[in-house]
Amino acid sequence: MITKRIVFLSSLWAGLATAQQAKESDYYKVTTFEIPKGEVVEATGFAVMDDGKVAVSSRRGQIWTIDNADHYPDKPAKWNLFAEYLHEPLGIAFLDGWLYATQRPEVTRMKDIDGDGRADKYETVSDDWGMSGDYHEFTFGSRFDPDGNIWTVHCLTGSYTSEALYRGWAIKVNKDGTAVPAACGVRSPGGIGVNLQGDAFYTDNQGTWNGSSSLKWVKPGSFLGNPNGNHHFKHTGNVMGERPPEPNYSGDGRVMEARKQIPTYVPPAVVLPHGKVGQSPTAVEPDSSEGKFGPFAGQMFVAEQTYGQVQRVFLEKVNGMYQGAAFHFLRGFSSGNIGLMITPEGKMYTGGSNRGWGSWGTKLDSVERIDWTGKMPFEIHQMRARSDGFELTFTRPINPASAKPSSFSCSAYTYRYSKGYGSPELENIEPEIEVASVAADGLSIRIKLTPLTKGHVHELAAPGLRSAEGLPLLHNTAYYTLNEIPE
Amino acid sequence: MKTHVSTRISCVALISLTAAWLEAEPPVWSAKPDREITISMIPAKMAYDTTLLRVQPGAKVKLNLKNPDDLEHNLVLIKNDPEDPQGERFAARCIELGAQGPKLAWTPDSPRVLAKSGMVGPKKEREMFFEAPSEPGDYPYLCTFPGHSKLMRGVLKVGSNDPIFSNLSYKVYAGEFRKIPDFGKLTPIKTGNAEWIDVRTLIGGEDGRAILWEGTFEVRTGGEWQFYLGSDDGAELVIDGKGVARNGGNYFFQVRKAKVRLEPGVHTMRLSYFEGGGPEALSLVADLEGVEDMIFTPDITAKTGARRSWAGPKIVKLRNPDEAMVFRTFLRGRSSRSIAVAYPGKVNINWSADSMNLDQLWRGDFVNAASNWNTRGGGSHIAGQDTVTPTGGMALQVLDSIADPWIDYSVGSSRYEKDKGPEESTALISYGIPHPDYGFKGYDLDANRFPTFCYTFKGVEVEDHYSPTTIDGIEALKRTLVIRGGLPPNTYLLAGVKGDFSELPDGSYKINELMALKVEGATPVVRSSEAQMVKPPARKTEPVKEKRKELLVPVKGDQTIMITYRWMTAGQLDK
Repeated sequence: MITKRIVFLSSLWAGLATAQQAKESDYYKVTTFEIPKGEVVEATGFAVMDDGKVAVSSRRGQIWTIDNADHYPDKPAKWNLFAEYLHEPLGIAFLDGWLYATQRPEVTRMKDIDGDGRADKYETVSDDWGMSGDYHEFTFGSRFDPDGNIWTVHCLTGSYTSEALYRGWAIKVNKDGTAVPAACGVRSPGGIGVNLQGDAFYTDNQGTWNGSSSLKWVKPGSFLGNPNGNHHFKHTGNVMGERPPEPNYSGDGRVMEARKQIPTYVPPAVVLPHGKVGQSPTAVEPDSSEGKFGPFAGQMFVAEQTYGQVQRVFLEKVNGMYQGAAFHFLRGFSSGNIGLMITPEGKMYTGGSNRGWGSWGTKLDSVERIDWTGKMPFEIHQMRARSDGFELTFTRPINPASAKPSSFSCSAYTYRYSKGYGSPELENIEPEIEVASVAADGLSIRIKLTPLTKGHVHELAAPGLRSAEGLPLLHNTAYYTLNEIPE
Repeated sequence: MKTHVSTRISCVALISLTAAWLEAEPPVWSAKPDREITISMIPAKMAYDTTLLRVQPGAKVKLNLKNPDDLEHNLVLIKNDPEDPQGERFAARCIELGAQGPKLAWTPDSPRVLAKSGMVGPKKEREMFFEAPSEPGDYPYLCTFPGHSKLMRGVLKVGSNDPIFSNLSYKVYAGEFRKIPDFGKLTPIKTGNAEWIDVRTLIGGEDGRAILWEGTFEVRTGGEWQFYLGSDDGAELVIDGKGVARNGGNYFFQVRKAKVRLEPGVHTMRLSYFEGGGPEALSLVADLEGVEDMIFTPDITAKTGARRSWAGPKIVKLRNPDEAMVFRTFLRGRSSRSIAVAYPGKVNINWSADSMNLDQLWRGDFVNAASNWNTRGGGSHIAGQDTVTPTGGMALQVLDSIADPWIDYSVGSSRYEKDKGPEESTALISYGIPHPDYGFKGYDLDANRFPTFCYTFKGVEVEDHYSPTTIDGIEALKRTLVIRGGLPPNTYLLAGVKGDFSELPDGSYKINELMALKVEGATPVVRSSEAQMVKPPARKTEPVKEKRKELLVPVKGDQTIMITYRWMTAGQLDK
């Protein structure tokens, strides 16, 4: 919607004579590729080929390779049509000379045998799932995990029911072609990725049994919340054990209650609070660049379609369960992001489509690259749960004088876990905040919160915190999902 | 302010509210509203086509809400609130309805609600009536279904005291228009003054109309203004006597952009428009360096681009006329694992990776992907003609007795479950599960990019290849099936179903009036049988039994079988 926009200068930092408001673009520069004339490239996945070209898959089915992608526009990008009209590929990966694509009906690997730049051999790696013909039965695939598996995740029929085999399931597809059901309880995924420890995570969208969108850990053998695909247990040959007990159908269940009641239930690792941290999360990608992409090596990034953003997620394992914090990272992309890649060389690629559900970025299609400018943003780097609160680390030293309780605010809340569509934030709590300690190097602080509430999202903002140079945080709010409280 | 719709709601709490809306009597003024406005949801775009409305205070408004989308939507008009100018907090409250949401059409009982439509289902329409507030201001309207409001929103401007236009007149003309006419030679059928440029109000739904608006408008901030002019069909914009942008064509919605330097003050505008046929749309927005907008029409899609991809059929064409093209898609009414192939010479097939068999052949254009590429991915359909469905069922089967039925494909079934446990489920659904005898292995493309489909049957590799040819100048396809290994006794290939299968003088078998097939390398068997069919998509359906004629080819393995499918009537090649 267009309204008359009013430009106003924020007075929040009026007290800091020199501090200008830092912008995301000071630290990360976005380059938008020119799509080949007459083509539509609704980017759904990225991979780097063995010759260094960047491959990008499109929702319409093409896979393009781009030469000089890392250096565009300083060098012209050369686009080549590598494969044509697969069935909506939503995830690609490269291994041992083959490009792998997860498309609707199968995981396929392809190769250019005759050397004309176009794939001419297409081999089915796995097609061990069903399709009813419903458009909503999206199939997303990850890159390879360390054991040579692509993790696929299969949307429910119409996002509600499971009217074809393994709709609402995740499957582990090995490069040797074997496929094993990995988890059930999926609703409507937007993407799947593997962290540097080799564990798979996917995004699931707000709706039935999802109070909010979230990042979920595909723990092998787990039930991830939506019971409507569980009738396929009879096809699993017991590799997943017995069908889990039924969840609370009353319409007013809770995640903590389900954890007690259903032994294999794994709660969302990191909730992406609906409307606050996007509302349609898609691809999941770890930063494997070891610092070439900035200070967030090893952390996870999540693309966002409706808002056209990329979010950042810090994960930790507490009492055997993954949990962690979501942060805003970058916004203002030109379409609705679906695909995401961070290369070992520290280049981030994203892109997407505004077809079907619309997006805040109005372009029909996009391919964009993000380069770290080398400047260090002032951000919360990591956020770890402690027995009485959280430990925050920062990318730059803080001004210790600003680390006082009035610089922070916190609210904690949970969501309904129910057959209803989405949930408001419930059981809101405003814990008391105490700054327990500030490290001598200014790079970390301990925050004590009273009370800490197991199962709640803890939304911690630090608008008053300043770096040693007087800068406010580039993104001052963390959304931590406290599944477990450490001893 | 009074809202006839919403006041009725409170007294029918126990009845389905949707039904109550339908039954609610329109207000007494419904036949003579002050304004009648149509708002349509843009399919697969999560947007209203009209995002800015202007009415006078207290105006009696009839709103026709059309929903051609395949999701349900609503429209809720709410009071303005400086704390929540976009209505985002209100939208969050609607989500809080949770399980009650569907019953309440996702509209809470809130004093902020001025008017509400109820849910408008896919492909449905609804009328709503309301009286505009008496207090001037901007009133947001939005779709309150969870997740929709971020993009499905608009503003009702009541008694706006910042008119962009002054002295705006319109003249409407009737005729057969294919381009912008010379208005000097025409006599208008309707003239008047308008607050702004609203094509729907003047000619909603009428074809064969042209409109000329002339007036002045005030620019508050000087600078290089970027104008966006979008129209279906043509339009031309002239500012201060100089042509700015022109959409000449009698075509789908197209956008022209132009930059104009405008100083603060009053400028003249002349906007011409014609509607030859089909849908009508006119959108004019100007934008100053992304900071300030001037909006001249209720439709702002010229700038937001929400309409852009709706540009008619999308016939998928060969990139190179000498090469085939493989196109994997949902093909309407066919198996979910359809692989369509276009060959040079305008001959096309669909090969199913569910049945490992040839599913259909047609000639002429390949596929129309518009319904796939313009929507959420609903699939494509055949764009050509003379379609023949020679087979229906798995490619190979061992028949211990020649009376054994042919299987369609491997079917599993479950109790249908939706947000309730298995004990409460009743309906049995069927769906495909991987057939234990088969594995789809993929395809290789040769130098002409003709695919060879590869699969295994009982561990034996089978290759299935097609190439276009002509017989007596008429299109034909040569199928080569290579079986690389020995097969069990009594294995058959399903080469034709539901045909006439009478033998023709050249040794081929007639399928129907359009096509015949000829088998080389084996002698076919024609039989009548009852097959177990699952009609795709295999949702919520039980397998059905179907009596049909079948043409089977006995195969023993380690052999090559050639089958020629030829059309028997002249087709594309003659044209």
